[in-house]
Amino acid sequence: MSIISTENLNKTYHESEVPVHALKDVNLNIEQGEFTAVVGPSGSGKSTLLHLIGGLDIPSAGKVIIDGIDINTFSGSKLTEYRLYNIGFVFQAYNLLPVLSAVENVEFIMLLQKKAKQQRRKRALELIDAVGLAGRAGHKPVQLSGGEQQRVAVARAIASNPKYVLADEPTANLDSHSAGILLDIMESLNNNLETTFIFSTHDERVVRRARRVIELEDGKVKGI
Amino acid sequence: MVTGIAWKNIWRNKTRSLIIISAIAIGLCCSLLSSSISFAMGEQMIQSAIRTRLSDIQIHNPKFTKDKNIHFFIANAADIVNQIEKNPKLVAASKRVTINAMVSSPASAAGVLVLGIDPGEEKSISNINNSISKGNYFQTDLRYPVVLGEKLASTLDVQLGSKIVLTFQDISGELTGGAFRIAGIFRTVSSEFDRSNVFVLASDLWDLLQTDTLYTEIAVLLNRGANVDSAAQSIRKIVPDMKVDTWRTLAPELSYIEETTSVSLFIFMGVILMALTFGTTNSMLMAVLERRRELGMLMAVGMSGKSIFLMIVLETFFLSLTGALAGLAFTLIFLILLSCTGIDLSYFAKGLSEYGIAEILFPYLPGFMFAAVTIMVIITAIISALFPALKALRLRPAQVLRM
Repeated sequence: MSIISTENLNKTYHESEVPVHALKDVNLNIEQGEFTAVVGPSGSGKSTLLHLIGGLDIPSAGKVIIDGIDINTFSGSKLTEYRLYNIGFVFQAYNLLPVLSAVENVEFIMLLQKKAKQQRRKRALELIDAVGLAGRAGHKPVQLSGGEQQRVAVARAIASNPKYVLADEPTANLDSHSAGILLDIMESLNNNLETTFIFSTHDERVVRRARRVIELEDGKVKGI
Repeated sequence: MVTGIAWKNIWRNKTRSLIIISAIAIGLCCSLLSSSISFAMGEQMIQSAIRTRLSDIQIHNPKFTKDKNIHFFIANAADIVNQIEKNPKLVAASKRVTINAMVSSPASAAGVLVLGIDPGEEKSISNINNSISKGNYFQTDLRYPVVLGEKLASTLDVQLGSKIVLTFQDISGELTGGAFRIAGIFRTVSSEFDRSNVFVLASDLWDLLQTDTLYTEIAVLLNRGANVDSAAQSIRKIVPDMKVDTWRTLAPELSYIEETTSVSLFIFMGVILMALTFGTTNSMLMAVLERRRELGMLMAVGMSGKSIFLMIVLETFFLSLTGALAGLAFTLIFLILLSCTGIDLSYFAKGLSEYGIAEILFPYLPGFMFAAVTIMVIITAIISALFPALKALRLRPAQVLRM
């Protein structure tokens, strides 16, 4: 059963004099537990697609349907709450909070969910352990390598048990070794927890590991 | 945790935060110190007037306040003093005979207010006895001794022991007078007082007036900090047929100084804080712009706009409050030090004495000023946080995360 589907999804940016059509009539269905890569050259609309699926942006036309509900019918605060409980995000630039330690960064999402302190600390430590950073839980992001920071970001993304994780170029800033470790972790989480992962990527290493590849070109789905 | 993150965030760019904190602390400290000098000057002018002539409360025959004729005396002054002395707020009371008179010497003449007193009583409410620069305060065997100010002595060109003549109206309105010998010369912080008041023994005035014991005024001194208006009210209940005035009604110009000092200081503080608001807003705006991606991430992962707004407001609040507390602490330290040493204004002594201000000034700030300034800082912190916080709210996560 599809947990995410898009219907004639269009996105046009009007930030310059010439409108930019980032997505054109994209129709997709993504099933529970998929490990999917969205690939395509720069400007093909990968990040735009992820932003729309993640409820971070509003489509110019078309629908994003999650669990049978068009998420664009939600109010701003409802959409924020929906993201908090249903979607995990991993960003290319890690985007950890620099003032918090690794474990606090993971805990942060659960704090927003107003979970009890003991419960969130226990789960955060388990997740830190799961991404292989047990000894680095108290380190601040600046004390961690890029690969380690991205592993913390993955732990943060799955801390709330989301329905799906959206990862925008997660390995772009990582060396081969770190990228390999990160993919192993995400694959293992996908297998063990059945968390749906959707990546946008240029990285062949990710594409090779994906079980499904959606190819975009000039805002259109070229191949699935 | 938003509070914890906000506090940690302000230390991310230590240099910038310390500059803002220092600006607030220094601005606040300097303005509070200058305020404390103004307060001290105002308070000294008031205290100088109270402890020389005015006292906290004066009681008169109601008719005397309209027509300063000695005929309108207080009939039972001693009884009144006995009754009001039971008030616990009262330090002392002194009975006086006050007459407008002409003082003349071989060299010159001047209009003065003659205060006929009992030196023992007067000592307890006035500090003239402590302001004697030459001679003594009625500790003399001279007949008809007089104590006058340096300025008046200079105008009359008289010395200690010189004779002067006081001319005034008696109880029937006829001119009378007598020769007095200078027993003491005083110098208060007010030149004006020194040139227009002379003290004589009340009993000498009775001799010259050819009357029995007679007083026109009862001066009352209260404990420092006592509520003058409520004390006056309780005295009015005891002597309903007398006119009871506080120093505020007797010398409205001094009351005006007290009121305007506070108001002008609040305006002054408001201007300083408004200037600091621009600096804080600018700094927080830079912080928001630098952290656009991070704020976008927070929005993306589900942090509500309300929490983001609160976080930015708290950051600004902490920044301002830290600066304010540092400023208040420095002010307190300086005030404690200056309360021991004082500020030497002897270079300006001549000018200041015209206003009843001493050469050594001891700055002070009333407690309410500290509380009021803290509240003002909190309000301005919130105002300066609004624009950066609204700017943060307007960020679109999809846009900033793409940058």
